[in-house]
Amino acid sequence: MSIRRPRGPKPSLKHLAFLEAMIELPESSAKARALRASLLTLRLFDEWTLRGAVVTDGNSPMLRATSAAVDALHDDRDLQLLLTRIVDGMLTLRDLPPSGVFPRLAALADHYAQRGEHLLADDVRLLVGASAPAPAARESAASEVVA
Amino acid sequence: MNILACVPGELLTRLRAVCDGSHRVHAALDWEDVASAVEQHPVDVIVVDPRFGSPAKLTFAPVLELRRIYPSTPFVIYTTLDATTLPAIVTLSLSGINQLIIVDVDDEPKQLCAIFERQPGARLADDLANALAPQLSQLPPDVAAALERVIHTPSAFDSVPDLAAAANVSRRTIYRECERAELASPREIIAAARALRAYALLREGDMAIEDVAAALGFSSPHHLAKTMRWASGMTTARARARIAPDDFVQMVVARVAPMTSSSSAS
Repeated sequence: MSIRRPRGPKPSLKHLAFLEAMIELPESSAKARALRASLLTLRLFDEWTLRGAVVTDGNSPMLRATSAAVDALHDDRDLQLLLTRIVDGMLTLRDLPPSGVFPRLAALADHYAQRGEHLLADDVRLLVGASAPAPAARESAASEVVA
Repeated sequence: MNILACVPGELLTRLRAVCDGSHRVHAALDWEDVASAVEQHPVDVIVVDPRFGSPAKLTFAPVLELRRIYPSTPFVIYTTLDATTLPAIVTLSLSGINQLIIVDVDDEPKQLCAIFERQPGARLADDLANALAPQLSQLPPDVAAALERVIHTPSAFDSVPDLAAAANVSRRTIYRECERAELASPREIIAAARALRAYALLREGDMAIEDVAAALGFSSPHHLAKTMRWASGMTTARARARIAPDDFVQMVVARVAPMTSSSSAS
């Protein structure tokens, strides 16, 4: 087995697609708020997979900022529910493994794909990677979230 | 760990409060001062805020220039996430910076420290400097400071004359001082620091061998491989895959302080 790493693109920030999508938007627009809430939720997940439950403790500024951004999504209830489920999943599981949250992340990816935001959907899918459930399981997770 | 902060005063105060006792924070006065700050201090991580210098007019050109000069040093963006900073954040990310700390979101003290401590090479450089502390303490302060800078910021030095200039001594003197302190030659110390940073970038970062070789000033991956084989006895890819970080540091110590290494082994 080769252990030589192929030369890929330069390293860049995780979730760059969300940052790029936010650039052109007025900060107060509903879409900018939705992107910000999604970005903070995904970053919370990243940090949670690295550091565990300490990130989702009630006093964590990262959790507070994420929850506030999600709570502010009054005009996009579907997305608000999807993000709330991801955050709740981390709060419930507390520690690793993070795979319990994968179906909820996959549902978020599908949500963006259905809206034609394929770069954002792909960005979310990278988190789930090879452990993503089959499409049927994702559909059931998505309907469970929206129910 | 040594952090060079190119951030506005409020963030500098936060960094200093968080790092008090655990890491050293060196502050740059403005973008023009950054180069001389890197020449004066060992630097493991450079923290930048595009609002530094002039909050009214964001700039990222100085950061891109710093990235060009110090390509093997990890950079972290520490700034607010809003409409004014977003274009700079995206541009800096596209230049290869892959760490972002959002003000009031990610800068809880333990999280800040965790982010700094996972930057490639920072902990290993600390480990090497600590292992060599007995030898460094025998050197004149300027020479010891220059060697410490090589360990923490290897891309700041191309050659022994660079190192001698940083230590304010002649090339001949720095060879003599290293010999007196039972250290390997300055040329080998520079090679060892580069090998250690290359190992860290490959193991802890997500760079390809070709990019790591270029970032550390090797003329080709072949030259990196020669240095890696000298330091570890293995090819670059095998060293990354098969040697644990603590073991790699010990191998480097054995190369640059062979007397210490052999006496501790016996």
